[in-house]
Amino acid sequence: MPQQQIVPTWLAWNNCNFPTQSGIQDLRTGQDFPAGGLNQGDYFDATEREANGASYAVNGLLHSGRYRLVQVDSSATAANVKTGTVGYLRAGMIMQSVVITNAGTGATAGTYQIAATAGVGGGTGAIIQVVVGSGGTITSASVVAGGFGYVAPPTFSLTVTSTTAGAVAAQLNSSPNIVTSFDQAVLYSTVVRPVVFLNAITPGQYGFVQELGVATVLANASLTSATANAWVNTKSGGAGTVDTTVSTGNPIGTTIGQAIDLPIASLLFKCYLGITAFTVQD
Amino acid sequence: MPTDPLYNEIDASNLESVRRNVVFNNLFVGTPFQAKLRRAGVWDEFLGGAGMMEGILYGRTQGAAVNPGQTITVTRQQINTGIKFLPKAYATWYPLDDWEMDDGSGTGGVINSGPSKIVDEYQLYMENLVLTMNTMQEMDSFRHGQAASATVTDNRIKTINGLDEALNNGIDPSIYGNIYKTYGGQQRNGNIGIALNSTPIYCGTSAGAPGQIDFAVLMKLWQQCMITGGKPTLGITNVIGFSAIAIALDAQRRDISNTRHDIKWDGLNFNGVDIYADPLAPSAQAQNYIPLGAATGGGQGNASLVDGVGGSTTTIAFTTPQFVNAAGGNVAVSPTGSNLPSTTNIQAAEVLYFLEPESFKIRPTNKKGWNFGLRRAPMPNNVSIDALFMRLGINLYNVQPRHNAYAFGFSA
Repeated sequence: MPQQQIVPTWLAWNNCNFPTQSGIQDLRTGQDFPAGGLNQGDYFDATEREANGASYAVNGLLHSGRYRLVQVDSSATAANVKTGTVGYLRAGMIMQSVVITNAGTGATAGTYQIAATAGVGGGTGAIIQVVVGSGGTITSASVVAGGFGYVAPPTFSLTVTSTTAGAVAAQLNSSPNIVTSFDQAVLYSTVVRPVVFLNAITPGQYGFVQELGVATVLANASLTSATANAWVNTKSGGAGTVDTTVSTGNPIGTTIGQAIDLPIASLLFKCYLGITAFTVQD
Repeated sequence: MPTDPLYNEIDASNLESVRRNVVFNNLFVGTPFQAKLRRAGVWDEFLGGAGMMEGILYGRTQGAAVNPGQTITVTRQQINTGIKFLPKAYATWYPLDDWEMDDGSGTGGVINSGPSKIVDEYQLYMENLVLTMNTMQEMDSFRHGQAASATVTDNRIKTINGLDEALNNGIDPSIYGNIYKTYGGQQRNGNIGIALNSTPIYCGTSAGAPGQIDFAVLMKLWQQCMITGGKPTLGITNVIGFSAIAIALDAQRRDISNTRHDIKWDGLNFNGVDIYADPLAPSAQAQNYIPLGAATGGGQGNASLVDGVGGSTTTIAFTTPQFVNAAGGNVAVSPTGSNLPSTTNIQAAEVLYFLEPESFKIRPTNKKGWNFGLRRAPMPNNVSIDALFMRLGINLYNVQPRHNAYAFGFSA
């Protein structure tokens, strides 16, 4: 979805927990009612005044930044999706591509369609096509069916080709419009592209998250360095809360930005998301 | 989850009883201050130009009792100048999705159309744009339009130059704790003296707590307008303040009948001043009954009435400065006659204005596009959504603040 600076949000941005992406649900069928113009992935930039005015005070005050309508993955941990916790990209649901990691030797020339190994990756239905050349090596691999419901890449057995050491690796799709809780992201190794939750969103439902600008994050009960302008890092094992470390060194893999307020354990504080270049102007 | 069968017999056989085209207003309230000013004929369209300048006379020529044949050194000092205000821009807006609603052209509104339509959503939004605009105007009429400074704590440079800065004397804090050293760009208490001053009357205790409004305060308000040549005819106060006045004046009533009390205190006139109850006028208690300001926004964030900067007219507590006398010495009470004590935390509570409508000017532009005009801006890559802006270029100010006065610091 492109940037949408003209968009209905129906409720205060930090109080949305919609069962459907349009924010309107048909009362009878439960279907997404497409009206108003709100779509999953719509994102927009807001000034401080606009964000303040669109805040539900009970869930805190919003600030200038970039907000996006996302779906919280149905497997996210509900308790970790709340005001100030950090979420991450969900691993893609379908297999999007496959690469040859080892062409192998001794395979029988031909074209093979191979289904994903059952029980691996959490989904079903992924199928690839492998071509073995006259030299007995795998010359190409492509996706026949992406399948559905994967949380980790499926695997494929190439035994049918009689290859020695030949192997392929599947890759899932990626979307910033489905996010999950930190613990699930760790579980499936997708701790990339952090976002901040503005309010509790029921797993499987839709709401707004903040991905740039001045965000309010929830400090862990134990902080390494509670100083303003410290690096703000998602705390390992912290259920989406953050730790702060001195900003004299380089950011680490889970750094989401820098503290604006003085961080205080277990309390919310403001943080500038992104590392300078990715900020949004007020 | 859908039921199975999807519809029960009742729902499959009956529509709900609903009155078409009726939506009851449970948010907006009236805006009588603007209405009364318009009725008084203060509407003066802004035809264009680099601002709105009003000439004011503040000085006199020389004169004295003389002896015939006496020689006189004839000098001249400036006697007139001007005050200047800029037009202020307002807008209200919403995203118009023509898949959902039709703008009256009949080309859209796939959903909100036909015999199943209960309410015309486009009309509902259009009326809401106007009501939101009028609410902002009404509330801003009681505030100021100046930038923040050493004595003005809030930046309202985008809003109209309302009563709070007009009715000030550059010495006493207003009900929002601001001291307006200038008005219309002109410095108060400088070369023009007190020409643009209006002194507020504080009714509270010396400790800052709200007091009572009474007959004496009403007379003082009237007196302050009259002594400067004004003729106040319009009184504005919140409904809460109106009650306070009625309760105070009830002591004047001499009703010897104990069989049937016919009480009708919904209109007050004092010395020719018709006092109107304005629910959006400054008040400490009104917020208990109507949602004022962002803090009472509710879960949707927009379920409250806000002014042009997202605030409200709810009065606040503020601390007065250390007042000094002409010699520079500290004094316990303001030397202006406002009755404000020095360095005291004051609860502004309720407020009553005595106004001379003829001294006001409402200056909307005469350009249709900015006089509640619409601008529809399509989002170029969106199939159904446009931004719809209602716009207003306007200002409100007073050319003779001294003909007006207000009292505050009383409660009902």
